Amino acid sequence: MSAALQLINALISLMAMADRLGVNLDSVKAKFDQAKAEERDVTSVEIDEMAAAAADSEKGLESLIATLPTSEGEPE
Amino acid sequence: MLRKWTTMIMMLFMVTGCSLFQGAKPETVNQSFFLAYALVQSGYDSIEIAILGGHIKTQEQARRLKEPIDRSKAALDAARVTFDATGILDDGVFNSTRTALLALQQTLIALGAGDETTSSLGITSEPLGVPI
Repeated sequence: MSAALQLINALISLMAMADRLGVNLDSVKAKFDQAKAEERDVTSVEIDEMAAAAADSEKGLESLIATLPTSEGEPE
Repeated sequence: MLRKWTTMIMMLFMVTGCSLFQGAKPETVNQSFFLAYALVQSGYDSIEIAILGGHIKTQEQARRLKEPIDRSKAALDAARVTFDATGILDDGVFNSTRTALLALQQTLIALGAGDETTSSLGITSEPLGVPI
């Protein structure tokens, strides 16, 4: 029962993550395409936003890495 | 069952995510920076999905994969500071970002996160660097 709940929980997390990533990538691409369509350059503000988004992704990843065991066979 | 689902989601993300930028050809320095940061973000997110999917099991493994992406991000940050201050650009930094992401994807595929060939991911053809 517990294993089944864990499985469901993992699946929900994974799907939420994939959904969020899809939205992120779509909005990045839309912003890039819009700039190209308007024949204007991407502004430094937009680059700042993109750099901040990359930094946020890195922070999220660091938190997730911290939950893993340090090496194979070690407890979490 | 979980492995099958996560592999499928991982593949969907990698193929759709990376192919989103397949036709994006930067024409300016700013666009190159924009795309390079987007690739860095997509690199971190790919590793996160591979962890959630159970393909990456240890901190050691994750950090080994993350390190080249970290280097790319640091190089981009440094290149931006230099470019803003001096107008001088090391445009090799954009291609090294793409190379790091390509290596990451090959490793993730080797770990079982997908069996697509890297050529179908759309990141090998166009270099990111642009002349000033």
